Amino acid sequence: MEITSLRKTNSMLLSLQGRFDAGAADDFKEKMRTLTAQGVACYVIDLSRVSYIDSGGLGSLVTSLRRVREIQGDIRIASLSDKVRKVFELTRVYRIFDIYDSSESAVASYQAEAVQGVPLCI
Amino acid sequence: MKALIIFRERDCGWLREFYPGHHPAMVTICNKPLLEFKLDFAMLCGCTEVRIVVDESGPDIETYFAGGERWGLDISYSLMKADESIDSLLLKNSTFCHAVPLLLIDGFLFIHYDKAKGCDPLAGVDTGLLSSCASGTVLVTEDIRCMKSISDGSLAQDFALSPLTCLDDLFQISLQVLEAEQAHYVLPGYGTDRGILLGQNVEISRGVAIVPPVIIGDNVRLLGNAQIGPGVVIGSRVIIDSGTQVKRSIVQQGSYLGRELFLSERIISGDRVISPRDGAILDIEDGCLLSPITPQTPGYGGRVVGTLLAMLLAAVWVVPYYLLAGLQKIQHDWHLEYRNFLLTERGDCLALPVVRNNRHSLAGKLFSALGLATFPLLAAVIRGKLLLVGNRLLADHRANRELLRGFPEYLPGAFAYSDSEDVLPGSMEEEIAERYHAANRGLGHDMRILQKIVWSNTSAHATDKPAQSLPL
Repeated sequence: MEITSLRKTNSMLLSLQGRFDAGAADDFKEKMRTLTAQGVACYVIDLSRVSYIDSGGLGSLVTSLRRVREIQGDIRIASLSDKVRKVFELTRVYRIFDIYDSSESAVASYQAEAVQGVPLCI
Repeated sequence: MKALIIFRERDCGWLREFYPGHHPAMVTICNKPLLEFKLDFAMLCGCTEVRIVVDESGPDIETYFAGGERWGLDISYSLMKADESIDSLLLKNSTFCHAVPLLLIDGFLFIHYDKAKGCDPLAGVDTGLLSSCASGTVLVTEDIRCMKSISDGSLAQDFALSPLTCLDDLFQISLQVLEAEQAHYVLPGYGTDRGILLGQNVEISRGVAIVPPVIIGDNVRLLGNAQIGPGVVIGSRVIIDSGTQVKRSIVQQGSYLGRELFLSERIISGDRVISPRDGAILDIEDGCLLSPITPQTPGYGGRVVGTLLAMLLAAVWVVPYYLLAGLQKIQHDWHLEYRNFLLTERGDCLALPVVRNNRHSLAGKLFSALGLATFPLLAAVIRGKLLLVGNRLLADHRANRELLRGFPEYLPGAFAYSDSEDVLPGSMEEEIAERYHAANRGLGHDMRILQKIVWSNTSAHATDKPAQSLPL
């Protein structure tokens, strides 16, 4: 799986491409660990180009969310394909993530919070 | 124009007790899902794209409506957290809602309209209008950026809202639609007489009296001298036996009503009689009076393979199990006890053996490393009570019963799905693994899981996970 990172105002946009399975989950967790160590706390994960996600991939998202929440950060999910959305629904992961229909709106949500004075860690 | 239709569990969760296994949006009024009435209304207002947003899983919604081709609509789906505000929802769906007139239906309500009159809610207004009832809101706006300037007021006389806050609301609206508004909506079935709508494959025996208004679904049998109506809605796959009288009642799909019964002002659902006025439920145990009719589904072929594999495993493990168990018993490090575990979301239980041993002794370590704590469960697999590979066994207590209410795919196994993954017991990751694999279960899938568990030896029985084997 390919992970592309792009720094945005108030957040980090990570675009994932390919199969997000248990194997890719380790790469993702490592990437998140590195970025979090650099002080990045607010993330947007764009899943529009993820063709497949399994419980390992979802587990790594949840583990990463737990870690960033420890530093008052957040992970917001953007652009779920129908296939990935169904897996989010089956596993009820949507109960813990904020899901946006585009990465722009997810990034904008952080900006809106910054305008409102909600402290952001980046 | 686009429509955003929102269902919140806090508004409609009360219905789950009466309508188990379905999303409340799929509850039927005159044999038509509530959500379909909302879609028809959206079409009447000129919507071509609809997004359905839920905060509680509703796979049956998507199975029924799919992409909306049947309605000539483009239907998409979205998920939200519980108690999401409208502002937040609009931001999360901003690509869908951006710069177009929007019809927003938020809440568990019924919209009364008349298909013959049409509806143009934006006629003669600049920004938009809002209409509310006790359980929801309908909002129409030219542009979501103008939402703040929309004031609460009565919309045009084209439609009215009825709140759905209890079973009686639903019952009364069903009868209202049946008795007074039948011509206002597109209802399933064809009309043979004024006030009577029949579905496909309806068998009406000699002597059956049908007094309109009555709506009858597909694949229904009404046997000799039954008296149906007035004011009756019969769902699909229903048999009403001879001599039975049904008046002002709703018979939900998949119900058998025995002979010579008299039912009035009741909802019948399988073997349940529900009084809509107070929500009282009476479960009938005599199948000759009432019983559910369930369509036959193909069996789970994996059970046969699972049973054979369980026999094989039992043959391989029998000697080391009794040898190591005996050794630990001598050291007073081993104990076998029976506990109740949940088998289905309905709360059916089974007493299963649980090994409690000292895992730090040499024999205990070997016992765990070989995964022998699963051995006593194999008997239940061979008897067909348990799957070989399935969901983690959950002890019978209240929290687990609550958990299973929202987990219809749950089928426990001697080997647990989450044992194949490196997840912490009781964590969200474990729940994800259990739900994910349960949704994808199949013979090939389960065999791969079994291979993974055996290969990696990450069985719960070799760790401290709260499974069948517990430390002393």
